[in-house]
Amino acid sequence: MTVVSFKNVSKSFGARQVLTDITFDVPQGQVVSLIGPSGAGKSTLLRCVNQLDRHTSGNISVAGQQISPSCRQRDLMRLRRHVGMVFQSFNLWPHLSAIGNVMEGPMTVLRRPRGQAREQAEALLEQVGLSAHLDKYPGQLSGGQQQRVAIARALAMEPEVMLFDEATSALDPEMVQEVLGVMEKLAGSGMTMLIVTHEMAFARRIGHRVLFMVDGQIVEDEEPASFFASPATERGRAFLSRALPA
Amino acid sequence: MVNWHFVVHIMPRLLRACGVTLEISMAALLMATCLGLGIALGRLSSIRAVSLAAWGYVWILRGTPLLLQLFAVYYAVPRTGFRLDPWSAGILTLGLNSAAYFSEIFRAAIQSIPAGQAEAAAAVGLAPLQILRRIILPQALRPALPPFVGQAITLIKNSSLVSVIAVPDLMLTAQSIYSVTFRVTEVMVATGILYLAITTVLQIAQAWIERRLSYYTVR
Ligand SMILES: Nc1ncnc2c1ncn2[C@@H]1O[C@H](COP(=O)(O)OP(=O)(O)OP(=O)(O)O)[C@@H](O)[C@H]1O
Ligand SMILES: [Mg+2]
Repeated sequence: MTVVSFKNVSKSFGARQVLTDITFDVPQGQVVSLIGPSGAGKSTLLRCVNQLDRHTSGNISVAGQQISPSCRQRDLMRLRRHVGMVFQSFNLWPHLSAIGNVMEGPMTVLRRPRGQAREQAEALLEQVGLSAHLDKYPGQLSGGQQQRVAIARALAMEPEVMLFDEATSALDPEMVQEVLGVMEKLAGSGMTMLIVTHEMAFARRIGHRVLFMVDGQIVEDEEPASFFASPATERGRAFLSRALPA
Repeated sequence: MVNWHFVVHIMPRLLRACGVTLEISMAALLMATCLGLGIALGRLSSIRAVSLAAWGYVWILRGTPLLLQLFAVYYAVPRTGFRLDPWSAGILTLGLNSAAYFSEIFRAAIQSIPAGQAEAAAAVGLAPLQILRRIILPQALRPALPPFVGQAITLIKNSSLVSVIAVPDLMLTAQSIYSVTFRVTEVMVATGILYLAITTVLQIAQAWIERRLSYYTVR
């Protein structure tokens, strides 16, 4: 089953075209790494999946729902329930505790009763190793802990696909592993994932597929093993030689 | 020297007038807060006509003297056949005028919340109004509070202007006492103390609320 499908998707910010004719399908359970140089359009592509950025032409379908450039606010809200997103800067809500952050979506969007939402949130925070920090506020948590809360917050909506936009780039080196560990466990559980990352070793180890982007286009769509061993394009080789210093 | 016996002697009368000042100020404050929030949201609206209208409101109400607005409401509006007693005119003018200032305070506070906050909420599936109510406004409260209290204090002091349209507030009562007794010093001292008492309560409330709102701040 296809969870995310892009057909000839383009995106412009005003006169500036940022995505050009993007086409790909992601089957359920696949872990896709999006890599490429800065400004290639990786974040924009990811944000088109849940329509934080609206595409300007082409068709997107997510979890069976068609999204056109002209669809309305309520269609977007319905779409977003099925897509979890984790941001580089966590974006936790500072006025809510860790568990409050996780419960917010289920309670406000899905109208789950508080007790039920709390039970689910406790289980999720345990999964990401934060049972001891349920009632702490984001400001009292380390970056790695905050990002794990953010992952639990996204999972609380029981999404069909998870988007990660450089989830470890803002972290101190010693905290990167704890977040990658959670992501790896999630990939192992069969979650469909789109990951923008600079962690090449990680992409190679847990990814099923690499999309290499340059200038708003997908220039390579390969298995990690073959992409990292020998990229098909000159751009890919140049990128890897910079990203993976020998 | 101030004759403190006289100050004590006129206190009961001034205190009753103080009630008028409080009543007018609180009614105007309530109105200005609600209207100000609406105008702030209007300014931030993506609908151009709405944000332009909100901008125009602030432009005019902040750019003309309060006293002129008071006369306009009290003397000009009745010509359209809509009668206003001095109290209503006073409350209405103070409320409309302060709403312009409050709206700018609220707008700045809302805009100080990083865009990522609303984005994360949208990504979870919250509706725009839910994002505002559950994520943005609770966080905007804290940056809004100090300038809000400052403006509320200004409102209370400005309420003394309603004395010119014969609302028997603290200021008008003070004037009518010294115009009979000629004890200007005592009357002004007593009146000043009462205004100061009201605004001091607000400042204490501010400190208390600020402490309550800082529950999630890391020290
Ligand atoms: N809101 C916006 N308005 C205008 N241009 C934008 C906007 N967001 C992104 N862009 C432009 O679109 C291009 C792609 O940006 P994007 O953030 O998707 O790149 P990226 O591949 O994620 O880069 P990075 O690795 O630096 O995060 C960039 O040239 C950027 O300047
Ligand atoms: Mg990016």
